[in-house]
Amino acid sequence: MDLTKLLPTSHLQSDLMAMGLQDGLRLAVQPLVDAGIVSDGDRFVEDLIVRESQYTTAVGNAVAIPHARTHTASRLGLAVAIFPGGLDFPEAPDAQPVKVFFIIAIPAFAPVAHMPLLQHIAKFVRNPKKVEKLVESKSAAAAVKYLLSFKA
Amino acid sequence: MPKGPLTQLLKIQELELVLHESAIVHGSGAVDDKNLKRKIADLRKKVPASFLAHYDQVKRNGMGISREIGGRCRACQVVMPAGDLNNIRSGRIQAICPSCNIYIYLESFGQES
Repeated sequence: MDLTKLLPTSHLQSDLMAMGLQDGLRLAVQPLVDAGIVSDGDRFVEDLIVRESQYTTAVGNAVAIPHARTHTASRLGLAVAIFPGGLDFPEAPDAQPVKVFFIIAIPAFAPVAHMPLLQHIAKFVRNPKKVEKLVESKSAAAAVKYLLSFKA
Repeated sequence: MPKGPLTQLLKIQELELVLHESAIVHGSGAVDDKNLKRKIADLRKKVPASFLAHYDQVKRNGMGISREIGGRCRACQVVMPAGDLNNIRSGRIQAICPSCNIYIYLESFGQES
């Protein structure tokens, strides 16, 4: 899957710090708000938390893929946030802090539009070495380049 | 047209999507889906069998229910004829998109109670 259009460099934030999960999600969704894909960041974060309560999107290997169908999204959106210090994620299967968040905004009117993207990301994050390399990227541009180079 | 069953179908579809997503994200063997499946089963008990039969049949092709916004079915993106919208609102015909044949939750039904 080609992520070029979904993941411009501005959608990846590295070296983030947050006080907790909700604060971290707010920071992580900001590029989607800035790009006009999500109209209301706080509402989208609420939608992410509701979705999270149904079944966790933390997959282990310090990764979570929070996603939610939301009326605030005008189109499918992807943002990546890297917290090198990690954030506590209550339902993480390995109980380890999450360092990498792949945020997917799914427009409510297209509830299955994200499935290919989800599959692509899931394949990437199952490899701990790839995740480690992503976290250690020296810049957002380098991290995006690395993600775009991944062919499932 | 009673909107109650359609409200339940929207919830059922959402939980079924969560199940599908979780299988992708975690791997199908790694998902402890008993809780979700129980919730889906509980919701299905609240929906008349005739609704479920049509929902299950059309869902095989992707979606079983969609929302109408601005006169357009958001699943197939086709504008619904005004006459059909009026007939659905007044209960003269079933709330089904004439184009893609899935249940349609009209914008005028408002937020679920």
